[in-house]
Amino acid sequence: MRSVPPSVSDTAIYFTITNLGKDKVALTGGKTPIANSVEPMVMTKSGEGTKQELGMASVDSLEVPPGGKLVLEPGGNHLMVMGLKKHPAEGEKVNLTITLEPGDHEIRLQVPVSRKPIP
Amino acid sequence: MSTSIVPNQELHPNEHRPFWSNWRIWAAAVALLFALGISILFGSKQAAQRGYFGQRLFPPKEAFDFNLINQDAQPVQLHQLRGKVVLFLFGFTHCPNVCPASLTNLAAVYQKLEPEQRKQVQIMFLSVDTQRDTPTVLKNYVPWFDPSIIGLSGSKEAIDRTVQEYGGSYEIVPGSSKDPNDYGVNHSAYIYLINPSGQLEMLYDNEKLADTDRMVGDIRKILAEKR
Repeated sequence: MRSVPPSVSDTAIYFTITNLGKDKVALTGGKTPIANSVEPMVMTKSGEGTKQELGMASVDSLEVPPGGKLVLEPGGNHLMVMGLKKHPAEGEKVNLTITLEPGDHEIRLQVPVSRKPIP
Repeated sequence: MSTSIVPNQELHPNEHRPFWSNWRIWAAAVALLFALGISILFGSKQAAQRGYFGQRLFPPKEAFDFNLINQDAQPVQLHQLRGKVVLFLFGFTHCPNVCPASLTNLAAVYQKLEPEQRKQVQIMFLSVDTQRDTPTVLKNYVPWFDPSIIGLSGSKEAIDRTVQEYGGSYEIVPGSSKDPNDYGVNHSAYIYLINPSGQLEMLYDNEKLADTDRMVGDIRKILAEKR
């Protein structure tokens, strides 16, 4: 998770999920005790050259293809953390539960907090 | 004898004329100059780019002298920064992904420079979010990345003019709720390097900023050839 200034209420979480199975898996969201909500977001690009605008759009899920990977990385697709209730310091670990489909499957993670998060 | 000379002159009609009257020589000279011109033009463009990590503007062009406000609510004009390398970018403080990544990466570049070089480098972040990002908001935001960073805001008119002059772009994207402060901002994310003479010299897309060493290399090179 990216650490952000105390005045900022949203941040992002990055990681890579590898799907070793033969079926599609989708990351549908997550939750953390330190924020109001956690939502999958895709990076959007429109326009060309210096006028190219970067933005993001909320999506229902992010797919992990069979035998493939889902990479969430700075400047790209990510889990957006909204409404931070506290601002963990660099080096701390945050509890995160992510939800995967099919089966509404929950996985508990501890994500390290960093100014320069590496996926 | 004279009768034999005349047919010879006819066979080689230019033999006794000055060489510059021959069109073939002129054509060859023009072609040579043309080729030379092309090679100088493209050769120097390549030479200008060679070794630089960013996309170099050659020749560099006068950067638009914006008139904005810093996080202490003081006016800032670009020309006040003459003598420094200015790294200029657009964004907004509610940006969860791209802006903090760019500012963190730029801060890492700045911190890797020698203290003497840091005095000649200024990072400037212009918020295009006129509704939410006041100087106070910026004061709580930019110094967290590095205390040296200047956070700029201003009138919508001044900001729009600046974005336009730098060839950037932004757009307000309304959120799903009725809250007037629920919106996102799509924005261009190029980083502009303005040289110590106030000229726009280098462009970086936001992904390049992660390569701290090559960014530092470009800045050192530009400071070394300071005009």
